[in-house]
Amino acid sequence: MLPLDKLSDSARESFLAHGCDPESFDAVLFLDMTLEGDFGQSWLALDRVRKRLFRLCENDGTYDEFSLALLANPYVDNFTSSNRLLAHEHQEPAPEKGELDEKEYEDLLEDYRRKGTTVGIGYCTNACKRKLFAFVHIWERYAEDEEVSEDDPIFEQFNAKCPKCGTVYADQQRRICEHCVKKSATMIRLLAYFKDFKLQFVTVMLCLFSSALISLVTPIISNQIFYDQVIAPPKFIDGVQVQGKLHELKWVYIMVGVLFGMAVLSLLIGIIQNRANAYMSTRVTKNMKNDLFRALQHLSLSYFNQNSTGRLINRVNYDAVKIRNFYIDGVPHFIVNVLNFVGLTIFLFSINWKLTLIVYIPVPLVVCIFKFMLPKLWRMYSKQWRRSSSLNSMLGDSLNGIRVVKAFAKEAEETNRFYQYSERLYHANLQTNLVHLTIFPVISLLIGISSQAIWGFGGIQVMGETMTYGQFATYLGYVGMIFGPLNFFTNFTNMLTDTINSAVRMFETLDMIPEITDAPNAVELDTIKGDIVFERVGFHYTPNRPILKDVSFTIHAGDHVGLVGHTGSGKSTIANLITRMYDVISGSISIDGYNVKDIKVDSLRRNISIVSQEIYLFYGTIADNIRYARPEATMEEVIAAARAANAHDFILRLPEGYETMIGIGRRSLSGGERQRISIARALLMQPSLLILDEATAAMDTETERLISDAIEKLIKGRTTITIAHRLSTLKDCNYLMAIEHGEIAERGTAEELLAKKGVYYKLYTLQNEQMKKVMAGL
Amino acid sequence: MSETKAKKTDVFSDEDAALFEKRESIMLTPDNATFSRSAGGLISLDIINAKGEPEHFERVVVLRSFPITDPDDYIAIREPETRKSKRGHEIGLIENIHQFDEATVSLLNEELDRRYFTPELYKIYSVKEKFGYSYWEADTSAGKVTFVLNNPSSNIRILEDDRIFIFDIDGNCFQITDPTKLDRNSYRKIEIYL
Repeated sequence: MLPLDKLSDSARESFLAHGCDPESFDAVLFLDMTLEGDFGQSWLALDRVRKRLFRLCENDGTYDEFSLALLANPYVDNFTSSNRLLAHEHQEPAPEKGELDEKEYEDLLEDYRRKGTTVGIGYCTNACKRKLFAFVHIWERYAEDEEVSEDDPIFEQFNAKCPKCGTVYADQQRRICEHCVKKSATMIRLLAYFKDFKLQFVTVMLCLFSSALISLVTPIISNQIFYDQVIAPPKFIDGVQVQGKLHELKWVYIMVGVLFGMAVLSLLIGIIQNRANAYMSTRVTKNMKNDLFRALQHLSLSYFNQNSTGRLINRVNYDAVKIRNFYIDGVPHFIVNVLNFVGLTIFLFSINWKLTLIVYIPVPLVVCIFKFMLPKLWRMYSKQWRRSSSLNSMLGDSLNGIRVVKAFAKEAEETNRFYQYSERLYHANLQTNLVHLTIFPVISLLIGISSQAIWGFGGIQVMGETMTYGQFATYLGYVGMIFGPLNFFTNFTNMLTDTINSAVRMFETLDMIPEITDAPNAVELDTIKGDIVFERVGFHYTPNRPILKDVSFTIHAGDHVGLVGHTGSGKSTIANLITRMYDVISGSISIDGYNVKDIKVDSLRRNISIVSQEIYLFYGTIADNIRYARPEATMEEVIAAARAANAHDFILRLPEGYETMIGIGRRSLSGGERQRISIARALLMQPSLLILDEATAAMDTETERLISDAIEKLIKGRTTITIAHRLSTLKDCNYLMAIEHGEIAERGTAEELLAKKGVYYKLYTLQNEQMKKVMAGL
Repeated sequence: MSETKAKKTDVFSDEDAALFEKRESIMLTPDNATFSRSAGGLISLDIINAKGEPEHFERVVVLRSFPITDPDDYIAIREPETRKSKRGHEIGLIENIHQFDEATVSLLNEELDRRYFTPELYKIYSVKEKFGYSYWEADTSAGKVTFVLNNPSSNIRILEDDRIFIFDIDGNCFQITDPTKLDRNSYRKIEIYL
């Protein structure tokens, strides 16, 4: 049985109960919905030899059997959260061709198809989607009497391994590695970033301890010693001096000196701590950001299609900072606060345990408030945050589209729209502030009540002389300090989860293995000739939309091939596959006899130049942009390339010639000018294989002509693939390939294709038609 | 050059007009359209098309133009797209589904509800956070379900009218129409994400 899904024991028994032997199944698929469209357990099974499809729904016990001779064209309908497998059910097996000629047989088939009906075979949520597509793929191959072996590439996607520890994911649909997903593991891994900064870390910790110690000791010195022993007159109880031991003027000076010294000391400690901290934290952040950027640069294009640039920028910028903050501010303060809390409690109890009990009465209450009210407050903050971010996006949207706004004279409407967002943000802000300004005063009041109680009880005790004034003042000082750690602890858990999320995201990116990697025995090709062979290539970006289906063709070195077809027909995809931006799903591509997967990606791309539809010019001078792929090129070569791309003249008309700065926020070039620079960039590389993907679409016909003539001279003997909608662009091609619905519909010279009256003919007549109308002045 | 062009132009004739023919989408009303259940349990359609001719479709695709805010209006009826055949064209639009009789409405809605299958969360039994991922156990309009969520900040979307959409790790969508109507325990479990 093929390694798709495994029958559960209960399903196996049900199949047996219906007189159907699960041993004969070739492929089994689990569907997580019933035929009614509710969650449930259903099974589909294929039997290749007997040409049958079996269906079982465990929830209602329905069982069906279909003959694959009658059931054809499986097709998956993608819904929002679910997928429906459909198939065409015929009344009888397909008619034989026999003696009929092409046309008659086609008519017969047409009639045969019309008699059939489309039936729903099963439903599943997106959780089963990949396997569903694999199942359909197997089904289709069985229908064509092909065999599918256990090591077919289609199963590779279900054997994904955790990139970190190499174990195959338990649940292939949800690629979470239980082994690596452990809080401690991540935290320890994070610590690795700090291991070069042991000295700084120890320094920071020591500083924090000392400053905590100073803050604990200060009230004792300033109150217990200064009040009780220096200011207070001598006092004896049972012959033992308890107060005024140092009741002399010189002690006042000494004490003030000590206090001043301690203030200076804590200042010094603070400076040392901050400097060590700054040294360590900036470097740690730098290292994390560098690692992230390096990892991102090596990832495959598909990763960037799935993740928005904004999110990736955030990841590089904020996640590293968040992690840094946690280790730099969070962890040390956590330790210090724990020590402080324990120390304070001990001090308080040792000074006066009865009073301390009073102090701790409001503690549970305050903790409760923190616990229950803070989530509410956070929610309000997140609402506020959401609204402010939608205000920001509205702002960005409106300012980016200011041309359109002005063109349609919608300034007033845009202003009103802004007012609305602004109003909503204001309400959220107001609400948050109101609650915020209510909760915290209440907490202060609670703390206040306890200190007032202490003023009362403590005052009585001082009067009753069971407590000295100094002890009392020290005590009050400590009470004020105890709520700090409490507040910190309630926020700490939040900070912890935030950091873990950031860290997970960061490691996710660092651990991501690029989909396109060099095979271990990949060959390095210095130059390539440009013989390209596509063999039964199938490709999709998302499983339900096949872009290329079973595409086979050969391009010989030195050919100039044109690709034509509708938008979305798969032309650019062919270019992407040749440069191995993506890997084929089925079939293979070879260049000069080597499978592209066996050629080092670097050497492959060094030999292929592609001018794509999306042009990106980096921030810098025009010369730098042209030299991007070959920084060592001489200026002479740059000018030659620019001339060939017909860019030289317009570049020299710019005030700073080749040194004009372009890119974001700089001189703006027209679409055609940008295209010409990117063509120059591609030509400068002197590629063995040149791919022009709508490279001249934004130019006027005259410029296009000039460029294509120049290119034609340059590429003599090199393989060139030109992709275009405009047929005039393709006039120099040796032959054309028309792509339609992911298949090579036609292939041949322009004349041959016209004679075929197919796709090319349609495009040709359409464009001709337009031209005729223009000529006729219609 | 001009000679060959002239020659090629001649190739274009009336029969080519058929190449560019595109179906004209019409407004579907009970007067020109009859929906029925197909033999395969899907939806069949008979219409009087723009040319006034009767036409039969063994199966049609039913789509909502505004699935989130306006599920009953502007229902699009299209020819099916199958893997082998070319893209389907639009047959017509229904302005409001309730122009049709009850039986048709329920036939269409049954199909539409499947297409826009978004189970309503009734009760949340448990939400277990495990390191960036949360594992949910819940009861929905389509039965009991467990699902995994990550990155709640981007995968839980709250609409202007307080409706909540939750997208799990597989891309399945769940909704909560009115979070305040959830029972206390369930509400408390999602509260932190809102």
